[in-house]
Amino acid sequence: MKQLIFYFFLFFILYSCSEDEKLPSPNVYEIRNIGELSTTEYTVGKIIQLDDKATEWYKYGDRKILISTKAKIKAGVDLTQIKEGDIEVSGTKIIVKLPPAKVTSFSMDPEHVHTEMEEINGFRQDFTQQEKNAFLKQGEAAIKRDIAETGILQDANDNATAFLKDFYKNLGYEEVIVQPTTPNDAP
Amino acid sequence: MRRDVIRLLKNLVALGIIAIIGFFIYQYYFNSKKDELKIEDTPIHIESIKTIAEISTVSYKDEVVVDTVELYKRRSSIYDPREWMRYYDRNIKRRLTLIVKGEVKIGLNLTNGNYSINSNSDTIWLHLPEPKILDVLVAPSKTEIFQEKGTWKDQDRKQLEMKAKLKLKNNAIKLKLIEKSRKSVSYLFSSLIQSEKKLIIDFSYGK
Repeated sequence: MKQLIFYFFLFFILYSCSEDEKLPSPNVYEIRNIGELSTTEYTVGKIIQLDDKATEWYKYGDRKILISTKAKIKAGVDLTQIKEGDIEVSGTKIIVKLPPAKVTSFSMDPEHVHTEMEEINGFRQDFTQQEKNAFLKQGEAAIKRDIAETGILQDANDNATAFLKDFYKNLGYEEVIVQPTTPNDAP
Repeated sequence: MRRDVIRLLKNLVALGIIAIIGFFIYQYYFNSKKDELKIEDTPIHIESIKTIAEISTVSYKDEVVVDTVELYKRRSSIYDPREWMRYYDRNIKRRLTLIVKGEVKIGLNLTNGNYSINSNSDTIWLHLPEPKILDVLVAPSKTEIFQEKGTWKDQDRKQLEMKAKLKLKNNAIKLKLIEKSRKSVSYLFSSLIQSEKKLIIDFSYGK
């Protein structure tokens, strides 16, 4: 009987110490009217490489990981930035001044993330999903940093110019001049 | 006297061993002040470049929570001390919870001249395809692993992330954002086509 009372109290203490795992409540969503013309889509790949060697004396063993990932980046121009004075019409001639090209969307689809190699030896712990997500975040930042050097914005400008020329010609304008703003021209 | 000294030494050695084991356990499992591991600098490689013509007119940003839980299958016994932690954990064996912030873009895909224009002396008819969901954007920087209890495979996380994407897409449909996109398209093209002619836009192209 004494043993049962002891177990009961122990269970009561353990139970009262535990907390309900409440899920976080999501924030209010946001809906916006935009007007982005995306004209170029780049798909880029990156290998995320990490070699976690034991640096502290009490750790024994190494951890290595290789994750392959893909990012889809679209670039174009924001048509809502075209102000009234940016479109000039005189008879069958139209001059359109375009705002500077920018990256309009960036996505790293989870479907295209693969752990290619994972090696853990000694007394080291496996990589957690939290750690892997931290590596992916660093990979994403590196892609965003490197993408500007690929010429995506120049392609976006060229394609936007071609699209608008075609569009205004279909509208009946005989002479269409599209003046793109290169990133260096932008204020 | 000598016996007491030996006993004291033995106790001190035992305490020392316990302290060392405690230190290892703390460092391996509870020390949250770990330095962030830095990935190596590797180049990106361009896999494809496409020329597109997509006009996004509505952006919807939201945050969704996706969760998966595995409970202990067998009923536990209150008399078995090995199973007391189950009560503490509410019988939860493993749990993975993600908070995913994403963006859905809705608009027109005009790639490859997917539209047509007709006009006469006083009217312009612009035939466009139906607006649709162009992108559901998620990225690791917008994904938070809120809780990770137990060991989870990449596939499990991937499934949760795909579920989050689907939730975002379904929310956009429920909020009737495609309807909203139609209105935004009309407004956008009215400002692009500065003409005295009457502009009529329909979404029948390709039907």
